[in-house]
Amino acid sequence: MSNNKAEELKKQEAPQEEMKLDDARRVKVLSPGMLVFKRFIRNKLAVAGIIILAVMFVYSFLGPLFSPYARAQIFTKDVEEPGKYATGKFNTDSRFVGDASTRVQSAVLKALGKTKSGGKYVLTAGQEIPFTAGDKHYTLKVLNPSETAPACAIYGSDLIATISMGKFTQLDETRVDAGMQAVLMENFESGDKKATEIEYNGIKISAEVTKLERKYYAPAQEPMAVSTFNIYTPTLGKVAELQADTEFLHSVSAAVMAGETALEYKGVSYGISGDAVNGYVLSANGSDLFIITRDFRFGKVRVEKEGADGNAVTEEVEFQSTLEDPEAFVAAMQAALDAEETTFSFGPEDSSADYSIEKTETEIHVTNGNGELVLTVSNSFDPVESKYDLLNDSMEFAFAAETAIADGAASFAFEGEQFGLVDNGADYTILNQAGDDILLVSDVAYGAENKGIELTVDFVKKLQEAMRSKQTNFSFVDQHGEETQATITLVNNNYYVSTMQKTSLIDGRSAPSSKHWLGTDVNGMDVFTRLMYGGRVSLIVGFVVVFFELFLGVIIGGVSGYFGGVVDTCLMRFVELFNAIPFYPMLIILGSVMDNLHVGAYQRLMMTMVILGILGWTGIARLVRGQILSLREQDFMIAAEATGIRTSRRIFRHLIPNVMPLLIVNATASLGGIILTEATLGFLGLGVKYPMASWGSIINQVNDMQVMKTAWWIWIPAGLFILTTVLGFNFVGDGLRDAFDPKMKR
Amino acid sequence: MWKFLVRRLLLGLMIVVLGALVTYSVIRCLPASYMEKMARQLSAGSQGRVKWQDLLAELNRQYNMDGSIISGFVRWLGDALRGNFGDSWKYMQPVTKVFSDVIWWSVLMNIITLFVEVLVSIPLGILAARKQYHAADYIVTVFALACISLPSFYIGTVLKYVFAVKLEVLPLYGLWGRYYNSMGTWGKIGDVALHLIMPVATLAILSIGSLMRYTRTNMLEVLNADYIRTARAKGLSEKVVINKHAFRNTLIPLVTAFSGLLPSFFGGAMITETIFQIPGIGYKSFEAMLQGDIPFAMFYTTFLMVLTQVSLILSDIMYAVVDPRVRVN
Repeated sequence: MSNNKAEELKKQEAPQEEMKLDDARRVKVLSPGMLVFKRFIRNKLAVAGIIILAVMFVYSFLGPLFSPYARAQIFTKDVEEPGKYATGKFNTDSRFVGDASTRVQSAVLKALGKTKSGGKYVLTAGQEIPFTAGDKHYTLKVLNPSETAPACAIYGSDLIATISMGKFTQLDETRVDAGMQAVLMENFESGDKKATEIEYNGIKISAEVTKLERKYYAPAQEPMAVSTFNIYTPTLGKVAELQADTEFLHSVSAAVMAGETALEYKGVSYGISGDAVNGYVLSANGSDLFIITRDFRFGKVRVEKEGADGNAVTEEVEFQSTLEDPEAFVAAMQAALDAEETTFSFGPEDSSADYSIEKTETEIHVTNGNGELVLTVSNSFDPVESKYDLLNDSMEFAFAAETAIADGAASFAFEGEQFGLVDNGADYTILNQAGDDILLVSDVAYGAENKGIELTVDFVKKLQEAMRSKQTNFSFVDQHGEETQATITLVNNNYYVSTMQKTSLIDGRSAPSSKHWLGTDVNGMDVFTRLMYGGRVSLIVGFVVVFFELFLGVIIGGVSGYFGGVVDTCLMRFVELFNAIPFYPMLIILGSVMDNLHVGAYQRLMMTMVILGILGWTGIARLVRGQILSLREQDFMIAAEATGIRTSRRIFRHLIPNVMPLLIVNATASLGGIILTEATLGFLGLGVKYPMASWGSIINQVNDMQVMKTAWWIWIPAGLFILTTVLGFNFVGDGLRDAFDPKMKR
Repeated sequence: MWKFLVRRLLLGLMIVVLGALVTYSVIRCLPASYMEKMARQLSAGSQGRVKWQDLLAELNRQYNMDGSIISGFVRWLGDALRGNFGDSWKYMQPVTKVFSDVIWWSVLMNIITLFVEVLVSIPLGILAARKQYHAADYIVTVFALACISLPSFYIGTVLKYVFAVKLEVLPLYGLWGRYYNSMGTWGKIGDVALHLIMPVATLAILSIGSLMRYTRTNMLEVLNADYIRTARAKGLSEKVVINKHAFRNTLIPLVTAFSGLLPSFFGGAMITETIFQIPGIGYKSFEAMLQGDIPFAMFYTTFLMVLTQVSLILSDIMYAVVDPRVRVN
């Protein structure tokens, strides 16, 4: 102590009363605990260790409370990549409308194919091509002599007469007159087997010659089918625009809900007629546009069920599945609506439940007693003009349309309705009476690539345009009303259309960013958050195992050391046996046993802790035994024995507290070792399993070469965390050892 | 002395047998999927003329798997005492052949590691003791503690990442390069040496920490001893005091510490060998144990237990030899 300090002390003490040298107040007495504490905090490394451990504990145990992500939350990212959207093709396969069997269809294609020259059809309008399919005679009559997409009507043949053994039988009274009979008889009597084509008054008659009789056929007057290369795409015209206009639909829905019968939208007045049950009809300028029906969407409810373990489990089920008769429920709701009530009850009499109805602007919401939305009623719009869709399958319509196209007519009539026909050069548009385009006729076939894609009319039009002008890029409005860019690739006459499509991928191995401070791991989980939960497991495993080891070690070591003799010998042999079992081989074998038994993640964690404890307690038992052996011989124990207190009290009150410092030092130091062991197990894939995490099992991903090479953020931080934590425990353990046993130090 | 030795040996034998029984019981908990696979393969090989169930029973009988755990163990023990440890299921060879093929790689690696370890840690430990509470001491202590705190798999992976992946100066794993067979003798030695650098470094880093601390503690104890004070009082130079008087006395406890290295010497370094895929006993037995290869796992664990017992007895003897004051019993 320097002179200055000594003087200062004197000055301070001067005003106080003089103390004697041996005055008890002069000696500052510290409790043994305080002494240890003081010595401990004087050690810089130990304090550093304490700080490290505090930070790790806060991070692991409080961190998850602040982390925005869950333990095993998997992140995904949307990737835009070109995906197949649709395929287009100039139609080279004839399409049949009407009643034509496959046999007839192939015969038609064969007959048409014969007229091909230089890859193109050479046909004239009205040309008739006879052909046979099976033993029947047919006639193909060319409607539209297009070089690439001809259309033909297929006529069957009627048996009009037979002549058998010279006997004439007339089968079709309207067409067979006396003149024809004479011509046919003449043909029969000529006996010329090759004379099978007869023409009479413009009717082509074919004869079927057998040994005993001749059968005469004449073409049918009505076509049975139409073969065409054109595709009819319903376009819905103006209605399509309205249907895509969500604002319009919303205002109509609101009007329907409010019970109004008329509304005005963008200067056009619309009328609404009908009722809720049978549907409404929306019309404008005297023509019906939409049929509005109600769409019922049932919600989900929570139901208590008996789970597999016998406990009640709440489960989410479709509300519909809880009803025996959903229609009756709807009817009950309708009755309440009609009566303008806001609640109704439904269900069997003994267990009926109450429901409340709430009307929003466009929808009706029905909620049950628990406030769960069980039913949503909204309006669905069905264009009236979708009736034209049916025209696609009508042979008569196809016949009329194709004839009109061949004739170059501007309109044609079908079933009393007048249709307009607009020639766009390569394709045609068919208009209805009101002047709306309802069908697009062209020889381009197209199909969506998968079920989720609905091809819009706009897409079909743009696709055809692009295909005809040989463009490779075009843009169109897709089913969601979005402008989309498409690219065409031509492979073997197929035009493959691809668009940029959004797909959701697991966002694995993404680099650190503001969203994920340490990036994401292979499974797309946030590494920073995983490390928190991993730290929890690693630290908990460390502490639990150490307490388990202390428990076993103190009891067995204490008993062995205190009683000595046979007990000691037996217990120590037992300890030696456990000590002899190789540590890691045993852990690996047990790990693969657990793998094979498919132990759950939680049980596995428990088992791992128990195994680590059982394989690790022997060191502590030896330590305790050794200490107690030497303490037992000391004077204070003889004194304790002389006072005659109980054995258990002698052990736990007098012996164990004396072993405590050594135990604390040892436990702290072995905590680090246990964390290391657990991490090693995790690294080998034998530790805790998904969805749990430990620092070791996070590093386990580095066994994938790609992770090691490209994703340092997955495994480097976890290793550093293990290193700093174990280092922290070792610092503290060292500090404690020095504090308890200062003799070692100086 | 002899009485003690005989008693100790008998006790060791008993512990080995009981330990093997424990290991055997645990390992028998593994579902014998391997047996089933083998039986199905053999059955398929015979075009189904022999039912795989029959083959399974036959295999189980061959490997003592048909009876209870105890009877199976007794038969295993009987065979083992006659030196017959059976055929490894994974390697399809006699266990002892697999063992003798690979053990020397492990031993070689451990010998090199021991040299590196001693060369690094003993001078550093002495330095730390001499400069107690100086910067050098703190640096060495922190370094030693960091070495102890590092998980072996992490050191190995970081070394691989730095030297094999980033710098590409050392081979990533294995013991032999692609052109090993076309090399001359010296080329072969150089190739193996190159492959051993990282595994040896890993093992050395793992072990120098504890040896360094051990040396430091012992040295401190010796430096506080009276005879050192006497030596200094005689006016000997510090060099002579440290090298002649202090260091030699430090070696006594170190020698006994080395006898405890025996199991790790022959037992291989399981984790390190696995990370670097060094075909030593550790890696081979890790692979075998993962697949529940009972003959191999039993041989390896028994071997380790025997080694442990031998090393314990050796260290007892060493104590007596090094320090005549120590009396057995």
